[in-house]
Amino acid sequence: MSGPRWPDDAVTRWSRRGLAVVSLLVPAGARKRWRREWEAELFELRRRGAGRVRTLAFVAGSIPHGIWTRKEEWNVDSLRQDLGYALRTLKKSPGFASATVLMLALGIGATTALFTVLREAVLRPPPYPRPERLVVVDHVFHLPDGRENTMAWSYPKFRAFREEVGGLEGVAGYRRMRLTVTGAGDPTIIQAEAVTPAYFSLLGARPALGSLDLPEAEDGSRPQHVAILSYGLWQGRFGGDPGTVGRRVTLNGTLLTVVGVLPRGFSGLTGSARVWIPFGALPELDYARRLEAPLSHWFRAVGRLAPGTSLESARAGVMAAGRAIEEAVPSPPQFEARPGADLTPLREARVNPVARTSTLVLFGAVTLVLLIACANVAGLTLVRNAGRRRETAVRAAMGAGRTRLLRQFLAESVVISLVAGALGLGVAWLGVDLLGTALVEAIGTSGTRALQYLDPAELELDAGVFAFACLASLGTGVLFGILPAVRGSRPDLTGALKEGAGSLARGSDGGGRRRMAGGPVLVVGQVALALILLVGAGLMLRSLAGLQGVELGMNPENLLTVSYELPRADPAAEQPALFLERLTEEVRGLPGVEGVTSGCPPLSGACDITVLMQVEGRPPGSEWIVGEGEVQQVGVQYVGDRHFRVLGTRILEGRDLRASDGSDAPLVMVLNETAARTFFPGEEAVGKRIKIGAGPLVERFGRVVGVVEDIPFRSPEEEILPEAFLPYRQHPRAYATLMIRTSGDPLDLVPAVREQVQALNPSLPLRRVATMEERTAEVTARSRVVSYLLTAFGALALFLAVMGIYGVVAFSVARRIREFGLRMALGARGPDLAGMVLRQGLAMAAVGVLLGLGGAWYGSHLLSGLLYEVEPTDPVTYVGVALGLLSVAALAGLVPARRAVRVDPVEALRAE
Amino acid sequence: MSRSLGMTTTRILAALRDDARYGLDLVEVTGLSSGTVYPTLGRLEKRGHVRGRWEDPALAVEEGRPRRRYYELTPEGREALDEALRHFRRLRPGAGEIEGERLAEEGGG
Repeated sequence: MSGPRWPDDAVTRWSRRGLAVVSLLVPAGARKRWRREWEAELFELRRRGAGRVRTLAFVAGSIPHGIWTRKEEWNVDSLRQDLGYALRTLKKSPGFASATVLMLALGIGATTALFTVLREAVLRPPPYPRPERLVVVDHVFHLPDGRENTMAWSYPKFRAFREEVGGLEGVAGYRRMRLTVTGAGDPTIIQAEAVTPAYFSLLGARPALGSLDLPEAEDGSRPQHVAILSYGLWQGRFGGDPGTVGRRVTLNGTLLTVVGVLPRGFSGLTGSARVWIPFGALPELDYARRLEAPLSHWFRAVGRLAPGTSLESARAGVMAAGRAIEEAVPSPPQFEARPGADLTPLREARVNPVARTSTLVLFGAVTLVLLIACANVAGLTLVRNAGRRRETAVRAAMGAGRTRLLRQFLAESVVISLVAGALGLGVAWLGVDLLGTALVEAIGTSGTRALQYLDPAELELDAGVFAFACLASLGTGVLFGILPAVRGSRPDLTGALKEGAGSLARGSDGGGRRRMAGGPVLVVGQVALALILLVGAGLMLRSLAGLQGVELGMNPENLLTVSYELPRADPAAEQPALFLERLTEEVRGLPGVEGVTSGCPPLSGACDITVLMQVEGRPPGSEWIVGEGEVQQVGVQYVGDRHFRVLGTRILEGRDLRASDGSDAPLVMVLNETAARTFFPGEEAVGKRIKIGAGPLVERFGRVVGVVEDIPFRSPEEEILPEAFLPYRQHPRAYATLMIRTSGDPLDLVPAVREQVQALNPSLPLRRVATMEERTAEVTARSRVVSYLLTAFGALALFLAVMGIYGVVAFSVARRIREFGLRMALGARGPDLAGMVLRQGLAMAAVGVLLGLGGAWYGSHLLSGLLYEVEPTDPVTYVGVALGLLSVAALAGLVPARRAVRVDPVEALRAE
Repeated sequence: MSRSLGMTTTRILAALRDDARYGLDLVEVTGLSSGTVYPTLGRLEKRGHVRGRWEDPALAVEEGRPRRRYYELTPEGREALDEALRHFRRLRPGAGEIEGERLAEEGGG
């Protein structure tokens, strides 16, 4: 007999497989019949030649049917009964219910909040069409030792590269900048991007108004003074007027014509731009030689893979074009590194590894807290169920099956976890706000390429987050409910019913012991997880302490910093040194001011200019090379008079810079200790002559007049580089940061300083006003946020674990009252009993600590990228945390131990 | 049981008024989705309004296909259908006669 002949095609095969899977939903007794019926229908459907969509839709209908059969089996009515019963019993123990709900709500809330961040920061792709085809194209230097230095582009190099490159649909340059808007209202500074024409089409942007067509910088036939506005700026500054195109806007003192408006939500690769200008406007707005200087590297580039091109072949094309840069723009002869180009997928480039690790670590930490909370609630539930043995036994005796009992216990857990989940959403709502602000400040954008990483506006509680919270609560309910439910539903009829009601109230025999089995395991687990968290928090705190203790090489107290930049079109920009000199004089005259200088705030990473240098009298060729083929460079800082005295920096040799080091005086400089040691090992640096700048930037030799202690200008993790401090009068700049030493609170002085600036130049906005302490605190923001959050989670974990220990020990004491009474009657002394109890708590803690130490050892390497001068296996942290946890565990056992000591043997023995 | 039936249930019962039908057939005649028809059939069967039976194996072998499961109205089902139709008529006064077949085809066509 031949069976039915199934058509041999993929749709049929997959449909049958689908049915087989769905049939697992159907209760075993009815499964075969169910499947036969559906297969017959499928067969008929295929025979009639139904298309793929119709077949799939039909087969999908088997899912509700399968669920329905399962529901029938479960009997929805009895499920409702279970939930009702669960609610009633929970109402009867409000203490238990509210304690567990609260614990879980905190856990679920925190996890949900961090999930929101994680999703935005790590999981969500960049907000452009086909984002996987976008790449960041970097200019690189191939060093003689084979390493590769990624860096920004100069415009001549970029042009040469762009002409040669294949494999890309296009490539566009972009540069984050800040522009001053003047005209109506106060002068304000807004974030901007200078971009090349291909930028918008590569990112798939369409105009909301006008056009996004910007001119090429070298296209003389088109006006370069044009701007494109963000939707927000258009709404805010132009009131959303549809006639805005063609109107003028004043940026850095130059008039630009608005040609278009971008749609809502577009803020460029840097994530914060509100206006876009073409590169061609930069000579006017920014720096006259921006586009000509071949060795001035100042912008980054983005590209899109050409259709049908793989990442690998595009990379080959980019690297080939990179080799052509050298021909177009020859490097200085002394330069050993060769220019080139390389690409990185945008998705990778925008994820800052430190930020990514921080987010993952924090998410892992809250998950641990949630697990601990689950274990804790499971422990509480075990204890509670142990007191309900009689109730369970009665229900079992009256015919409730094992499954039914199991379901009833689980129903209670699920009710608790769902209520907790609902509250948790509230916690998450609060948390996302707080976290969002803190984390964006700490890890908002990824460093060098200025790519946006985390957009606070995108952190919202939407359907996805809601689904996550629901899943988390359901999972939580099952997780903490399953063990107690399995134990509680194992009816021990004879044992429980035989016991007198009195003994049950005290829960006083061997039966209880078995029922509590699992309790100690839960506690050990909690302690282990808490230890892992605490070690993580401890490592971060130690590293934070290290960061905050970084030698600044100056005294940051009572120091106000005020930054400004003179717009190019401003008349004062003709003589920036004169402006700075006058401003310095005026501010110095203010009451409460002890000294004024200008320079770069430490740790800011903002004054990262390095130039080639040459020491006078060194043989040609060797002056550029130090050690193994390294190009000799020095960082330069332009500073004010009596700079080091005002800052409190120690002068190791020679003298400070003075007002007499003017533009007509001989060129002078002060070196930092590292520079003096590197360039003049074993020699006196003062009196030596150095030429700063090389090749196309050659300048005269200047004399070293002093050496000062090191000031870290980059992040604390980076090594200190050689720096030269040059007097601003000899090297005038349009921007400066004024540093004002005050006798009282520096912020009291802000209005007066503002007034002085206004008096000198009414249209000059102050770029940044902050105390030096605020500025240096920013550097530690990431570490601070991560360590404080980890510490908070660690504290929560510790609290929960201690509660767990206390609960188990107290329960066991209550259960063993009779035993204690007997022991006392037989001559045991109080301290012996107390010792027994304490040992029980400590034993659990010790096992947990051992397991936790192993886990921490393994897991702490995740943190290594976030630590500063602390090893992930730092023994001090491990030992400290372990001892701390053990002593807290001992404390947790004290209360039950006292109870054991106070047992009255007569009372205890008579009770039975 | 005089609980009034919903539109979906009534449509399915109406489609079975004169013929025994299998699931796919019902899906096509009523225009309801398979995810609606089967659980409804299950409920009706449990309530005793319809009866399911496997077709003669010989017939299936002859046609070279798996056996189908046919559903037909029970007397109780017929009663419930009439009751439901009366109910809908009351809900839509003036709608005149609503015949079972028409009701069924309304969805099918």
